Amino acid sequence: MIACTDLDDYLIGDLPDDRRRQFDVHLLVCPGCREAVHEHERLIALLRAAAESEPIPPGFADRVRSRVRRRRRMRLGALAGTVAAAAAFVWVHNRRLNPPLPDRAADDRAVAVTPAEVRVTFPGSNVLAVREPAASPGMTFVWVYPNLSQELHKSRNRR
Amino acid sequence: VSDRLEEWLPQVYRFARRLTADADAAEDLAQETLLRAWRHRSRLRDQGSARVWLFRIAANLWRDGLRRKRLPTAHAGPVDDVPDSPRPPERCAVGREDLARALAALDRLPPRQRDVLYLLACEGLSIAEIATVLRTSPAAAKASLSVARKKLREQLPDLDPEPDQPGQPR
Repeated sequence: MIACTDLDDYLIGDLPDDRRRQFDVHLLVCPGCREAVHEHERLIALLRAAAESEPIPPGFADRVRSRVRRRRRMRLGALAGTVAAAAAFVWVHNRRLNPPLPDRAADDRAVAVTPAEVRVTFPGSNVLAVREPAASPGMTFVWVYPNLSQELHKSRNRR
Repeated sequence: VSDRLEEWLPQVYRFARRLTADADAAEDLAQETLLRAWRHRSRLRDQGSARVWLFRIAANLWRDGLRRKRLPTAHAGPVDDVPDSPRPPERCAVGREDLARALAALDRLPPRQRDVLYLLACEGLSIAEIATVLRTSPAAAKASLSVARKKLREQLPDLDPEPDQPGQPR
């Protein structure tokens, strides 16, 4: 049984279709609800017009685009720096494990090189490092894959 | 910015304007919202819910910012501070002053009531969507809406624009 108590749900579009149709009929015989509906419509129309009257600042979209591009470049730069640091770390570590053959000429110059410890941190945890076999014993290549889990997730979804 | 996100820029800005009650802060919040959305765009499974998702990000960012900085909640500026309207809406036969008064009255409501009413009236969101944006229950959103409507009617007793399409509530 439809009644005035359904008015609020009717106004906000929260009545199921069948009850909504029943309330439409109820409006024909209930001046109070009819007036409430008109009042609600007036208020909604006024607020909507008021909100739409507020202008968007000129150039706003361009500023958003350039800010997103800037932030994207910064993130790519940080990632490139991380990869470079990882490569340096692997190279130094490899030099310690596989020192090059003694070079007499270098010995004569008496230059002592102490391998430095390089600490590498990856922003976020979704990074995978894969070692690439290299011909030279003093060189190691590492592929670093950022956000691997997201990529896997996306490819699974595509399938 | 993804085109699908970018198409909601005006709506995000206007919602941010309500949250912050300040044009500069609104632009910052809207930019940060789009930036955050772009960064996490893979989480948006249903493009049809992009607008609700963006509003939710904006509301979360604003709420987190208030919590961190202990800023006062947004309040209405002077009524004559409302900027020029480039295109007066046709559906509502009221003047600029009345529109400014309506906005000022909306902004004077407590934040939760203001946001619920704004999202329903100006964005046409459903109660369930509003509850999602504001991280509340549909019942609580309905209660806030009921109080908000009552307060606004009291504050704007003499504003009486005629809608162009009667018989279609919402």
